[in-house]
Amino acid sequence: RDIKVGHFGAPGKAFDQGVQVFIDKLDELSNGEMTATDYPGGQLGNESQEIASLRGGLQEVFITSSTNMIRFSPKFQLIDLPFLFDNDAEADKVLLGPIGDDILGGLDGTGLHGLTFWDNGFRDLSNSQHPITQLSDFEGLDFRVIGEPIFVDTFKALGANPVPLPFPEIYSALETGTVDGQDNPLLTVRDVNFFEVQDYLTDSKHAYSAMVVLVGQPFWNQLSDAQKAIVQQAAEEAGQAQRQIMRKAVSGAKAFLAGKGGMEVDSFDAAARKAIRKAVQPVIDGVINDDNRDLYQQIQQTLSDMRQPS
Amino acid sequence: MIVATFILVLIGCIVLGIPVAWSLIAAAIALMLKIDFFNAQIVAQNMIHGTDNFILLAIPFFILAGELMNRGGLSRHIIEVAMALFGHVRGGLGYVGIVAALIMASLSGSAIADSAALAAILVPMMRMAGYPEGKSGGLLAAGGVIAPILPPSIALVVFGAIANISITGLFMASIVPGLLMAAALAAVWGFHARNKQYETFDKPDRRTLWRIIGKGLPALVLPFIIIGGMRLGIFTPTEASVIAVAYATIVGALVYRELDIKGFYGALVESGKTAAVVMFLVGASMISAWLVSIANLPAEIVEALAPLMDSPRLLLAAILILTLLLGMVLDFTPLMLILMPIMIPLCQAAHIDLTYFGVVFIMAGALGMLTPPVGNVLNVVAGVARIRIDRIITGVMPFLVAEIIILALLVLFPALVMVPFSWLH
Amino acid sequence: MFIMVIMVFANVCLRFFGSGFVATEELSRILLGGLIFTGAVVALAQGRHIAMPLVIERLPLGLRRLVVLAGGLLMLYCDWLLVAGAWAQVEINLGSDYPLTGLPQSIPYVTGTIAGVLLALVTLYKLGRMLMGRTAPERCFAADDEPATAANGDENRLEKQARGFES
Ligand code: NA
Ligand code: NA
Repeated sequence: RDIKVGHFGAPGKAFDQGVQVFIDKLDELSNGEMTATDYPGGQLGNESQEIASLRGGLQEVFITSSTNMIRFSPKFQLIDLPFLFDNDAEADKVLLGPIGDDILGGLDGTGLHGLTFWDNGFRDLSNSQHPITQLSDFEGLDFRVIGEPIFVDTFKALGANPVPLPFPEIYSALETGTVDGQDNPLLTVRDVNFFEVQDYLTDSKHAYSAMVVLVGQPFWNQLSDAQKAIVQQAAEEAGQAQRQIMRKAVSGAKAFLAGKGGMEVDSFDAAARKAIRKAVQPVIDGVINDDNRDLYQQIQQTLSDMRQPS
Repeated sequence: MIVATFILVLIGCIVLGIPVAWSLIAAAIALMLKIDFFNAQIVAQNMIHGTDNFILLAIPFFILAGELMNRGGLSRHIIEVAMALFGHVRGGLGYVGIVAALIMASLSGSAIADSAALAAILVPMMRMAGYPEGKSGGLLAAGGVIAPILPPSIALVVFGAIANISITGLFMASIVPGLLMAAALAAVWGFHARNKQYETFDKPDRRTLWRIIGKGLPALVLPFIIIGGMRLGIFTPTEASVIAVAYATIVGALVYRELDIKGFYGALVESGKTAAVVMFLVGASMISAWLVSIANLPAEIVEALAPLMDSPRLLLAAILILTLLLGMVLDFTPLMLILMPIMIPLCQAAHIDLTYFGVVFIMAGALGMLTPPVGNVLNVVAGVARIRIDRIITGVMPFLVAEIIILALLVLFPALVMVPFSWLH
Repeated sequence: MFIMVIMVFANVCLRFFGSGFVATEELSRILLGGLIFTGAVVALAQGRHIAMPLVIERLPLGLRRLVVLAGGLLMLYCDWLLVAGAWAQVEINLGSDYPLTGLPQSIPYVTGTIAGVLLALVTLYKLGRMLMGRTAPERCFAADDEPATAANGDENRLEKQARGFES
């Protein structure tokens, strides 16, 4: 039967191109036995509906933000910790290794099965008031955030006023000044035209936005081991290609936003970054508990191994 | 063909008297059988999740605001002001209807509520003054459909949410097209009334005129509060709907003193039921919307329209004609909900400005409320004013044609939308 | 339902004044679901759903009964699909909670299941009344059981009946 692949990327844009690679890989690896169709832009419904469809066996594959998996497994919270990863290589190392597998395993028994992580880039800051280059610049700014406690707490810790809003309301809220700023990957800032209503961009990399490739348990159970291996391999290989596509698009978007997009692009210097990290440390401490401390330490270990090569 | 199956079953069920919501479910069942993917969860899930959307929370408030306007005397005062200004002109009650429709359209998003209020008050007066009831009802129906075009409008909110474009921008872009529709109605009505011996009403003396305007003022300033507030960024469109509810309550209760606790409670219950009926219908239409996606219909349509992709204007005309035709058999909401997700990517691909498209597309859809057999505004006016439905259908035709001509003008001269939009924005 | 309208209203008011609405948004969406299904059942009982009885009104009585009966059976089948589908999701969602309020995630599906059962019961009741000759067939689903006494009532009925989402 046809595999329905749902996601929220806009048709034809970078994320959707990655999905196309996945579909082609499925076809190629299965010698044409597995066919899949791409349903971009939430054509199969909103987040909760596509999840329900996966668990109920109406839909086969759904690619969504790892943040949305927190309610199924708290392990996913660790990925969203502020300033966890410094660059793409660090994120890939952790998420594509045993630690990533451990996190995905948290979905067992929920009716969902996680295949692998894909990339959605780092979240950066934009606002309409003034450049943000240090901690004190956050003071008094109204920031739209995702309605997850960790994002709300992070922006509170930075001194800003977090305002959780649903995604479709961001543009008009920015435009009308209901909020001053938002944080999203650069591609979103370009593709959803936030640059029209925002003047200042900060290359803050304050959180990494991971995507998770999900299959529904009813569908997964129907597959033979050989078929499972094909789907798994296709997701992983497409993930590699998808990372290249996304990262190339991100640098294109950055050039566009600074040029034609008319945004002033700033970044944190080492001292500012240190002060900001310190300010959000209580948020991290609040998330770490006995259940995830072990996993968190493994992540830190992996990262410090990378940062100080012996 | 899949669309044909769907539409045939849908119309068949509606004609057999099955409520539209169930007819939509039945048509969806036919679709499931047709694409060989039958699962009860498709029905349940889409009905439940289709309405689980933050943006749709605005709908009950838009409905409630309209209900409160009618119960709190705001609608009546607006019509009285229009009467005082235009009642003495030849065929004046027609212009009264148009002006009142415009003001009410800028207060509420509901064509049904507006045309019901207009028809309930004005048709009896028009009848007494010797106006033909079909023409009168037709005019008010055609005036009522301005409501979803002039801000505030739920359809524009939903469009903005799906297309990810500024809702305030959409609202500002739709003002001039709404005014043009009213102008077209006035022209047609003027032509109709030019040598009729209709009874006119006495022109009020200056003092009475100012008194009536003074009394109507609290109702008349609401559009400026809402549109101005959104324009200046004081509140978002969702919040505007709540402001409208609060303002209509305060004016109705404290200024006009026509709204008491009982009336407010009644408005809540009534609008709760209406909202439920509406959202249940939205949910039912989501089932077929989902199935249409699964059947890959959007891709089929894109393919069919591919030759037109190079000529945006032709493509636009094709989309609008399709919308008008489907508007004959589908209610406004399901029509918009089914077509939006298909048409928005199509227009994006053809580089049609989405704000502009949203305005003309919703206008085409709104005109569907004036076309039989499924024309809800016609049904309401017929019911409220006790006019035979076939008389209204004949009566509305010249006005419908005039509004279609305006739509065609907007397609030929997009500047009519975009230039005023750039001033207002 | 009255309370739900108030709650949803209060939520948006809260939102406007910028106080914590993360959980209330979730709550109001759950409540909105309750409002829709409660209202849909009440509306069916009161004959307030949008329908077009114009054509069947012209049929002879026997045929009219038959057509409405067939339509009613089709509606019952639709209700059954709602019940079956919603119940399947209730089973899947047992044990999952909403992230913010911690309420069970099966609530909307339980609501859907109950609503489907109630809709079916109302439909059966209406069909029964029609077959016993207590209701005119064309009024079975489209209008109040009691014929409108005052002109006023009739207007209201038609207006309510035709009220779409249009907006
Ligand atoms: Na309006
Ligand atoms: Na129509």
